[in-house]
Amino acid sequence: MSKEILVCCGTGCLAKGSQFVVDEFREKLGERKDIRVISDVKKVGCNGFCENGPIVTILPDHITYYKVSPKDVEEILDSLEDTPVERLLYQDDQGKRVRSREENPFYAPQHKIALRHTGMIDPGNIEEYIKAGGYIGLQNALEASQDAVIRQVEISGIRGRGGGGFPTGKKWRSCLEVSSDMKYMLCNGDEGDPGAFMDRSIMEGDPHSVLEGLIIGAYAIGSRQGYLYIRDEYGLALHHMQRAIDDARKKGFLGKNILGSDFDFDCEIVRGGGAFVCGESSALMASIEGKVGEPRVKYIRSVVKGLFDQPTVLNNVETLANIPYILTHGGETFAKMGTKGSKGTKVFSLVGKVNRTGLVEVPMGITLRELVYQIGGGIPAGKAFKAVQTGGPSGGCIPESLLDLPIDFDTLKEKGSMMGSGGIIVMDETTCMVDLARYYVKFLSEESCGKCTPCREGLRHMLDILARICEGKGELEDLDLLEELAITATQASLCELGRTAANPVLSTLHYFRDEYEEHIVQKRCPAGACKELIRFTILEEACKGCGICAKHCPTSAITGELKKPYTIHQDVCIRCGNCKVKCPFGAIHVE
Amino acid sequence: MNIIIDGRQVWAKPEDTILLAARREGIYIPSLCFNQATEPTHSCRLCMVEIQEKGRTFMVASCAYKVKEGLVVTTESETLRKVRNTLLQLLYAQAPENPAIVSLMERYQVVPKEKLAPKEGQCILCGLCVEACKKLGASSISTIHRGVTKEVNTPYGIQAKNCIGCASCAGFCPTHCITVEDTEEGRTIWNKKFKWARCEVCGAIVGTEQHYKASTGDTQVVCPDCRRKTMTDVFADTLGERY
Repeated sequence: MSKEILVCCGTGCLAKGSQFVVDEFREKLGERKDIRVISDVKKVGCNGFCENGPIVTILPDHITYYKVSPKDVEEILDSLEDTPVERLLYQDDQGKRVRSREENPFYAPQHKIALRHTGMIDPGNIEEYIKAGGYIGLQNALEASQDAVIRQVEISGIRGRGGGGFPTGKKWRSCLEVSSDMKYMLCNGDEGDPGAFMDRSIMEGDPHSVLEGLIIGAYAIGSRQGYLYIRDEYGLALHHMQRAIDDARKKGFLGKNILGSDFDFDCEIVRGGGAFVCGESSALMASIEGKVGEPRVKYIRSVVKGLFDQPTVLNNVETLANIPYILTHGGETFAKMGTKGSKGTKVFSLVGKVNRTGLVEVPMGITLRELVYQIGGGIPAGKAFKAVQTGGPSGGCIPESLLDLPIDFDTLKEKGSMMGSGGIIVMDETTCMVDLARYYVKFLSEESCGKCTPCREGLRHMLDILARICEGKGELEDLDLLEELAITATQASLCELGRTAANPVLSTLHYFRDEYEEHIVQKRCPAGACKELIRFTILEEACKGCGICAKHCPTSAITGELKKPYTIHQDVCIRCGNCKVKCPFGAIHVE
Repeated sequence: MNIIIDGRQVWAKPEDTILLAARREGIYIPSLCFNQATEPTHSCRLCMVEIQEKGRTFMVASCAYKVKEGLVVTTESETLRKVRNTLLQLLYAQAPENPAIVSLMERYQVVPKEKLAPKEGQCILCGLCVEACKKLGASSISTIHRGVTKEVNTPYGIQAKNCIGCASCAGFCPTHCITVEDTEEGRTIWNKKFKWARCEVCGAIVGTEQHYKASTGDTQVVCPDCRRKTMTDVFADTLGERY
């Protein structure tokens, strides 16, 4: 049987040079006739383990190589009929080299539905998607009634993966029930959370599953026109999505009389200008209409009056990618996974201070501990775990005491955070929670649309206060003011962005109030992160007098004689921390 | 239909918002960004009220929430008071010592918080000027940027070609913060100078030249008074009542 070579060409691996690996494979394969390999190397979407890219997979042996460079290609080709190249295999926690993903601790606990094809098929080739079982869901849907399609989605229990967690079936049904000549089916691909790349990877790696989900949704609600709102920064996703639309149109999955039925539907891509707030449904619709991307009040829901004032359903990329699976395998299969209130799986981007970062898809209900310690492999450099931020900038921080919390929409919300689109940022003891809140509030104050007072002005003042506290100029009553502003923003803001904008402040205040108080009362940053509150000193007993620190100090704040302990002059020191990083003896102390 | 505001039965039209129904009945709900003549912006959030629905209490913006039969509304509660006070303090920090906001603060006995650093200028970014310009002017101004850097300006911050100098924006501004300089020669607004259109009969100012042209389409400038007089003469002549 011929071997097949898959090279990951997601954005992460491409940045690490996977295109050169592909080129090298193609060149070498052209020269060599001695091995039985399917002649074309397959460029696949994101495998999720981007930090170890470029990733190369050999089928049918299921051998996965990591950090492959063009010079490894020859060796890989030589080993195809022989034992795998040991040094390119992943080394697990016990130091053992593992061949397949099933043995890899990063992949083993995962269960892929939304990412079922991502990393396995060529996203630019519709035939591969069809061969992998694609567009069967659409066929099944078109053979059933609109009601039956929605019924399946309702049985599956799937909830919107974009943040709110609204039941998708319910949304579709309410839109179906509104009678209107024109209805719109939209896909939200405006992923803007810092450190989140779930939707991007799906659009890059498996654009047809999103498109198929969109078409099925359109059929279910009775829409003839759809839009995919994708942010302009996602170049590769836009490219693959456009190609998917063009190919689907040629194959008759889009256009008039789809698959011989009397259902007509077409869609186009709208490029977002990169405003975080345009991921909010009504701002997104305003943006498609060509208006300023500001949310509107939603006392009348979008399913009644949305885009161009017509009934509209807006679903997230990941939600739509799950739909074909539900229509192919039935809602009940999907509902078997997950918790009582949250069915199926969820894709998370696991980033921050963990040993293994990347894109993971796990069943709902997995605990944060499993995510951080099992899949993520724990905290690097023996540091202590501090908190995990879920749900992006408007999410909240969850402390260690809640690590055994099963992740689903409701539990996270209950604890003052949210599922959001699925960003998981792990923080260790060196992260200052006040500084963290300041970072998110700064992000949101720049990314708020600025329309309503409590969000715009509230964030401006919250940022002021947090910056004051980080500089050691805070007072205890600032905390009350902070809370007051946060609660007002939560209660009185116009849209969900504003109503959740204070979450990072409220959750850190709730779980890490002592850290705030330490900044204010003792003028001390326990994590050693707030520059105004820390001092770098040299431990005399540990310093060997090598002078490396002095050499790397940008402000020449360190002086001394070789082989004798050096000193840091506090008046010149800018607390960049360079000396601490460079010192080979760990003699720099932060206080 | 009937709704209940603060225990009082109030009659409302089906298309009413809570704010409109309350105002018709003389029930006061504070608001800075609401004007019946323009599209609502729902931005100042001062008009928040509580509604009771399915045994739960929700806070909604009364300028946006449409009435429904039997709706129960409360305009005064501890939560509302807190939110309104904070909002007023936030607004005060945006437009320090602005009379419109000061008078609201006096009404609700709110004192400004020193800790909230004041902003330059007097604009509270309610967006009424933008809506007024859309409806009465020439859509020459808009909100630009986003987040804390948001402001109202002309496109690219340069003189708007299409601005007609009608000053509707300034007229709608609740904090009166749009500068309009009117002199004997003309008007300066949004960095653009306009000449007056003067009545060819009596010399009275009828607005800027561009505003007159845009709103009447006439080439001959006549003020409303002189127009009336001319018309009266025409009628008198026609009816033979001129002696």
